[in-house]
Amino acid sequence: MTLRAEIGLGLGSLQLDLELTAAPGAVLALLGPNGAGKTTLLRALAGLQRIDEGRIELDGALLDAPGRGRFVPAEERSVGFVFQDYLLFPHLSVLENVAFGLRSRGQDDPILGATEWLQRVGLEAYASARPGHLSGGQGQRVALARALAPNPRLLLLDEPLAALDASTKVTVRRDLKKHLSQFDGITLLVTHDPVDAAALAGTVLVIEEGRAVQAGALPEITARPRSRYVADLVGVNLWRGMAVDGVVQIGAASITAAAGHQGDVFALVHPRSVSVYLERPHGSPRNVWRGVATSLDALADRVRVRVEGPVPLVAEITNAALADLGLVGGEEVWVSFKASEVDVYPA
Amino acid sequence: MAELQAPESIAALRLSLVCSLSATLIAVVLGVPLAWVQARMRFPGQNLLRALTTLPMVLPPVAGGVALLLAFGRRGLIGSYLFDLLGIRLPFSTAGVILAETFVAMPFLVITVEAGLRSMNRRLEEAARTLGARRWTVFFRITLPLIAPSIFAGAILSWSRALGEFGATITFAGNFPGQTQTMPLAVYLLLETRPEAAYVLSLVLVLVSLVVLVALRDRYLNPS
Repeated sequence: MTLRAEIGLGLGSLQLDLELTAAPGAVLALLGPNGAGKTTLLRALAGLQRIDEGRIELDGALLDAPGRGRFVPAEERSVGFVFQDYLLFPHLSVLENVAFGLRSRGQDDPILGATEWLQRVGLEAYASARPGHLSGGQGQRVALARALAPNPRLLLLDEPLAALDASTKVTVRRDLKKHLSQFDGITLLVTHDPVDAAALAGTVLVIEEGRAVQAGALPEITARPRSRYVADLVGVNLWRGMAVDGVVQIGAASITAAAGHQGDVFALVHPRSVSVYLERPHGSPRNVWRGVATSLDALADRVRVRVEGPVPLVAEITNAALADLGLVGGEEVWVSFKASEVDVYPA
Repeated sequence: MAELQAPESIAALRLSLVCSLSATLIAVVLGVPLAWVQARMRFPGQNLLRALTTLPMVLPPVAGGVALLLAFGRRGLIGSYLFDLLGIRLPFSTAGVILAETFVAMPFLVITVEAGLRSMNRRLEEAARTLGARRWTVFFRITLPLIAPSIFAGAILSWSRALGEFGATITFAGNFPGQTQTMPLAVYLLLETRPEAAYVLSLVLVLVSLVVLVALRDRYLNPS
């Protein structure tokens, strides 16, 4: 029982072109910026959107293969979908919402099955309520129960926590993790929050502009980002360039790293490794240049200083250092970091 | 009050109720699918169909009656077949009144229901499909209940239009007491002979219209 998908799909300005596989019991997070095609990918897997090229295969059954004229419509796929805004049926009771899939699939005693599911998500007291009377977190649990009740092989969750406030999010995330761990099918979870991805999913697939740019466990992905999006998410400086014996050429500028690296590479520098001076620094750092401190962002005990120069970067300095420098933004500064602080890996 | 109990008044009232309610029922049965087709499907000639369905709203009712005669009259395009093959004669019959009233009233239903279909959240239908609901299940369990307020409002509008129908009815169905003489027709005739009776019947029509308007305001403008 596996999901195998090769998806080629054009929709307006979006061009989706990626492959993914997932094994039963797996929870795969699709992480990416808005407009990357994550929701469209889910819709294609659910059968709400036809693909132009490729194939979608679940449990050995071909669901969509334009080349072979095959398309299984949404209502015939064993797929549960939890929509971002839940899409609970406003005219049906909570119980009837959960029973809806069981009825459609012709299962015996849908009310009994739906009642069991409401108990599992702890909402049996709301069985006869209308969805309009539920809080955001409760609505999410009903949507999850409704999607899981017909026992689908593939569960799709589109930004399941995005509509919730911060305090609700914590408990809903914990409950969701519990239910997902009991689900023996495949789970695909769309999110743009790395915290949700880390908490809920074993594997993360980073999607940008319709393409998969990086896959793996979240710690691996954040340790060695392969795109600006992930770098910004983690808050590190990332460049891509050609390395010649440890010197990485980035546009007109270059960064000196440890010797030995060659070819098309990523160069990563943590903002904490970058020092900021008002005067040209003396001493050993190999990477020194001038720039303009354009913006200051306060963190808990540190400040992130964005410096525009030959190579734009972000430095993280302590509040004390900021006070010594007397920066308010707009000043000319010098930045430096050691060659040994540059992490270089092949692109 | 005595005027209301006069036999011809009662006959006109009964006929008006029977015909306008029948016309409303037919308008709902035919109009909801028509509205669905116009809101949800894309096909060539769609604009022409939309123009045709709304035409009776702007057409002078008398011209509508003439058009009905040309189509359904004894020697009309369709009427000749209806009479020759089935022996059905629509003009100057109660069925003709219902046809005329349906003709002028149905556009109100189609337009209201089409607006309802366009404004409803179609993704709810998608959600139903991911739960295994086939086309008809989606329609009857999701779409129809969600547009019920629009159908109700459209039916009320159609009914009040049918109740007040005059021009197309008198042209196509004539003015035979007990058979085709509805309230508006009776009022028109009574004005010549017994004005007080005409006043009373008019008052009844005015009251019905008022009740409809008030009911619709509550129902339509405050859906909660």
